[in-house]
Amino acid sequence: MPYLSTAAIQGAMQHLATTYPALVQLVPLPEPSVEGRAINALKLANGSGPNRRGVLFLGGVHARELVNPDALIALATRICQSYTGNTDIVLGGKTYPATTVKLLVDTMDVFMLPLVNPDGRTYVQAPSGYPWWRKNRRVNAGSSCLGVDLNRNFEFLHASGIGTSADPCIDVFKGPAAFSEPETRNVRWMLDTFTNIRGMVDVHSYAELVLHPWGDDDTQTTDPAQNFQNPAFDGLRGNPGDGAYREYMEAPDRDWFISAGNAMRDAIAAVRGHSYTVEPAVLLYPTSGTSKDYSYARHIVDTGKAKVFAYTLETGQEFQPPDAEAAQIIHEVCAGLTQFCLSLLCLAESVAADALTDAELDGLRGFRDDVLARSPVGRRYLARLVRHTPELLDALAADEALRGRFVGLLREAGALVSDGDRETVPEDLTGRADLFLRDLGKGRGNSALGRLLRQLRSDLKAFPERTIRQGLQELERERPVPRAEPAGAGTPSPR
Amino acid sequence: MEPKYFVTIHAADARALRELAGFALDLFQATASAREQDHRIEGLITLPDVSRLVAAGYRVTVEAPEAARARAQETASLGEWLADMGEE
Repeated sequence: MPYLSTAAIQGAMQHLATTYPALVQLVPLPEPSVEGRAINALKLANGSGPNRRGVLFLGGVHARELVNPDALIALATRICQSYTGNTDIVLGGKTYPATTVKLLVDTMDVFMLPLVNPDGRTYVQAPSGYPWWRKNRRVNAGSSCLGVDLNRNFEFLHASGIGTSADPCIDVFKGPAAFSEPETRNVRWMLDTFTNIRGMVDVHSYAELVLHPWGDDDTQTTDPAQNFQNPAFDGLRGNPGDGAYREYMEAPDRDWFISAGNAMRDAIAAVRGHSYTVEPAVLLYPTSGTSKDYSYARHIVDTGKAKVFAYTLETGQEFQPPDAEAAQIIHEVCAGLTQFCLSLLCLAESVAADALTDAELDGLRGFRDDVLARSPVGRRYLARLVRHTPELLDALAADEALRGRFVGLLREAGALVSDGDRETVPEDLTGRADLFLRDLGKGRGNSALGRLLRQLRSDLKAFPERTIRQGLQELERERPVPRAEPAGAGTPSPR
Repeated sequence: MEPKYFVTIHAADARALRELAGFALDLFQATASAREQDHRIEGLITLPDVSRLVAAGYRVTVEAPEAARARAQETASLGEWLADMGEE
């Protein structure tokens, strides 16, 4: 299928909102583009409530990267069709069962801004245009050159000039100031307005990469003083590999980025075997002013803002792939982004939100973030849970009795940890947990999830008559987690 | 406008790769990679740009003329797209 025009993308969004009014809401963004085009986002959700997590997908930031807006529109359409028709989403070799899609729509707010830069796309697709235009269409004062690189215009080390240019004639022109462009201000508005957003993926082309922060320099987890807000390091950033400066990130966040990135990679690979590479954005070319680093950095700049796990997905192997290849890439994008939604979901919240009180859920969240995420063994389990969340959700959605047992165990575990992890774990609880894990693992043989469940059953022996924290410490003594295992650790998304 | 070509630029090391930024070219930063001794990045540049890079010690492989990869004119109407997605 050829590429959607700017007008067709707007039309498709309107079509979805009209055809699926119970699921899709058109969100008009506050500012038109520099050439005056209206810009809309979509919100896909069924239901509302304070505990719902949001995810934001961006497309079309760079004008010439044509396949990505089409991919986001396709994803929105497939989700609606699956939800209303109770059909699986089949993406080459990757299938998302209808039950999984339903759970996602029922428990999450999925926001999509498929075409951030409509002026650029219009110019790229115009007979008199230029197919390789990257920027927006800003008329730059004092210059004959048009356009600002929108993905260098966000407020993250914008003044540093790292990986950007102050020359309007260059493709990575950052603009006169951070957020000088209405198109980037619209993205900021989305994050400011929908404060439940906990994850963001900005879909670009090309190189088959899943990129996570940081983009300005190497990442480290030991020296909080080396951070993008510290002026003592101005001038030292932007030279990866030199050791003079490395951007700080909390270890659990780094681990989560890697775990969820790997889950996206695996989902994409299942479509047709293309293995995207998961890596920090900086690697060889440092950048500043990108949407990903800005979105993640917001909670550091302002601790009142929510933490947003933000990625850049670089799809495919060229900007404008031919039809058949574009169709495959669209499948890959749909798989990767659906998987990312599932990684953001909290298993307990998704399955037990209706059965547990807010206080019980808060207790479990606190246990996850304050106990499990701070233990090497706990992080390893959390990372594996992130990876297997879709399978676990499917299994629990399909078996009401099993789901009931899971909720019961969660409630008891929540009671244990609600008082600061001072209560010891009764032996009968570990016994029932063991039976639950056994039944959950039936038929899973030697699959990765089957092995994980067997491992969990074995590890339960460390807990009777100890507090959960003591049990984790015992496991750490028995089987130390290798220090160089960042891909095997992680935490679910934050509260 | 001078015709452009999709190219792969090979640099001696990571530093030389980063120094390409000083040439003010349309380089695709996400394609930068290093495998063993091969540091490379893809870009869209003119033949005079190729000459400049070669003179500066870079090796440049011309992959394709720009027109060979331009498909921006291949557009679908909303009706066609809806039909393809099974929406109508």
